[in-house]
Amino acid sequence: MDELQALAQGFAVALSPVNVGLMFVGIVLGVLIGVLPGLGGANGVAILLPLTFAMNPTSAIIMLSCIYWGALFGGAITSILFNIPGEPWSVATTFDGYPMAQQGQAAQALTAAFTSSFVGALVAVLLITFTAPLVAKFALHFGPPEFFAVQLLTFCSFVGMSKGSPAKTLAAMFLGFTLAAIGMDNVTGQLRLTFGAEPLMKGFDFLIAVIGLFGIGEILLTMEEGLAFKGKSARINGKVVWETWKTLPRYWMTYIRSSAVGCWMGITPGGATPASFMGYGIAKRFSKDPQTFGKGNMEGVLAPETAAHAAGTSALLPMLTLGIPGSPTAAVLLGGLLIWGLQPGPLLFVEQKEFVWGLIASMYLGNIAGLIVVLMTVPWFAAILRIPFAIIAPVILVICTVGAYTVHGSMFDVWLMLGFGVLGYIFKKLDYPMAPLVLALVLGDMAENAFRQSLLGSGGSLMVFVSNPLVGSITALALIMLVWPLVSRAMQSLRQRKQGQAHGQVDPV
Amino acid sequence: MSSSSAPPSGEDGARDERAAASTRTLETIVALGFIALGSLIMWDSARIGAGWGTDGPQSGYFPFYVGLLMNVASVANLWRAWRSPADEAGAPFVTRGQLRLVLTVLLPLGVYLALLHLIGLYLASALFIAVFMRWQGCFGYLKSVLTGIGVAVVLFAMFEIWFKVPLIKGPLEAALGY
Repeated sequence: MDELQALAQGFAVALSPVNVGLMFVGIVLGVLIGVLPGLGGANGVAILLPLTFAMNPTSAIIMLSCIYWGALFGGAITSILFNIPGEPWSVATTFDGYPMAQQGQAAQALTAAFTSSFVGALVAVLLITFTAPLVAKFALHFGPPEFFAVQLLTFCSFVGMSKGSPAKTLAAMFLGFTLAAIGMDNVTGQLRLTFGAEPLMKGFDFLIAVIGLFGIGEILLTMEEGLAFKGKSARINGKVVWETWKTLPRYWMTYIRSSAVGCWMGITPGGATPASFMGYGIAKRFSKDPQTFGKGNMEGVLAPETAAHAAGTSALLPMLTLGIPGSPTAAVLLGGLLIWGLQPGPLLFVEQKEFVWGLIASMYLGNIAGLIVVLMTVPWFAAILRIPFAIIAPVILVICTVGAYTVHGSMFDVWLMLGFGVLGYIFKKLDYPMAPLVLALVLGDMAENAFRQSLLGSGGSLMVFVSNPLVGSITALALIMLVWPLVSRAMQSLRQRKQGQAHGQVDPV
Repeated sequence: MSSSSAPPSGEDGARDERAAASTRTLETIVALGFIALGSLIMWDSARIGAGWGTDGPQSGYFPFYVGLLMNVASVANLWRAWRSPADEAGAPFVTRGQLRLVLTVLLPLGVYLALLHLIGLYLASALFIAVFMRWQGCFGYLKSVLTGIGVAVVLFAMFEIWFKVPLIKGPLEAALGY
């Protein structure tokens, strides 16, 4: 049991007083970020990343990943109490969480949501603990063609699993690749797409893009809705928590289903948001009384929360083992690794044992700390939302500006952030997905290098991507994901035609 | 690509339900923007060499295909925007009232960013927060100014003193000896 031994060493690293302190700081900041509109996991971590440049990488990632867990927890608070999803992945939580709050069961709903988040995360961390070393060991044999094939699979999965238009997913993704390509070509030193403009020469920083797209864009959207926060108040006491916990084991099957969906969606980069909707949908389909969903069924709270947190956590598995993040926030953390001088990928498990296992141990501890913190502090965080938006909005805009400026200390970046903000607002309204854009921006250079090295090895023949069973099957899987929208649409219309003949009605798929 | 298609009309404020721009218009603008960008990428990549050099793929090889595929996807988006039913594509992308609200954030933000150059980040932030609170939230002068100064002081303590990350400073900070 090498893993358990390594994990024990990881706990020794994570349990140092400094790291435990940072863990709590991270969780509290994360919940705050999750509660506030315009600040989310991805841009919250992006804004704080520059402050960690001088820190020890292990401590830094413990703090930043705890911000991520905190944000995952925090999203549920606004969903249940205010019917406003603080994060996209907690939209599904509003369906039953807010009705529960209206019926005076806010404390029960919150307890169920937090506990389910914890369960989902725990399942995902266990998965990471036992499979990540194996995946990393396996991936050590990967050459450039295999790496490119895995990246191809990642990007094709976005197309295959996106709910919206595949062409929009592709356009957003290629915009990400374009932004990544701007600046100096790191193989030949050639300047690309700069047109002689000096600020473009160092390229686009994904942190700026994340802060603009997710932060400024979100504030503009929130502003448009003219939000006035009107919510239920909640006070959680030990008795309610205990009473709620006693009812939860009844839903064990829902937990298993939602965790499985969540882990799958996290590893393949579906992300937490679709995972939460799938978790909700599956729970409803298997439920004995589906008509109570949407009216305050506790199962409708715990299913999406379990799935979202499982997906959010397991998104770190491909990031650590292959260097391919499963979500925008994981992408920002990956960018952090590069900045701290760590090369993400399978070698991390060999060369940076302390870092990897410290991080994994901190996932266990961080989620326990998170559960305790949110259960105890919900009233305070709910009170923050009663601060009028006319105060919150300018403060968040100032924080985003400071965050963008501190990345390189450049005013150009700050204006760029504003541009990305407007772009994010338009994209969000037109359903252009943001996650593929960010992932392509982060992975663009790596994908291009793997692609060029593969072609160098093969002398320019694309057949290198099907040259052995391993790379061939990954490539094949990627292509299946790519054409999946076409296949499923064809199957759907076929089924509709059949059913239309049989019952004269159409079953939503 | 910003919301330049229609300025907010002044008469009846945030409840104005008339469309400032239709979804189809914005879909078209964005898709055409993508096509323009994609073509620019292909042109620039071809200029620096998108083929096979003496030592492997040239610098423009990868971006060239990125631009090409971006164009293909955007043509599909353009086609969809024009083919989709009128009630969907003709729906307002943003109503005039909404656009007004968005601009009440966007324009002050632009002014704030411009001020950063002149008077430094701390003073500009305090001003931005105070003005926004007074103007949008109808808070009292004292409350607005105190909140603005409070946030600026917290930022200063955190960045200049605690983390030692210097932010943009203007004449005020210089006068205070920073």
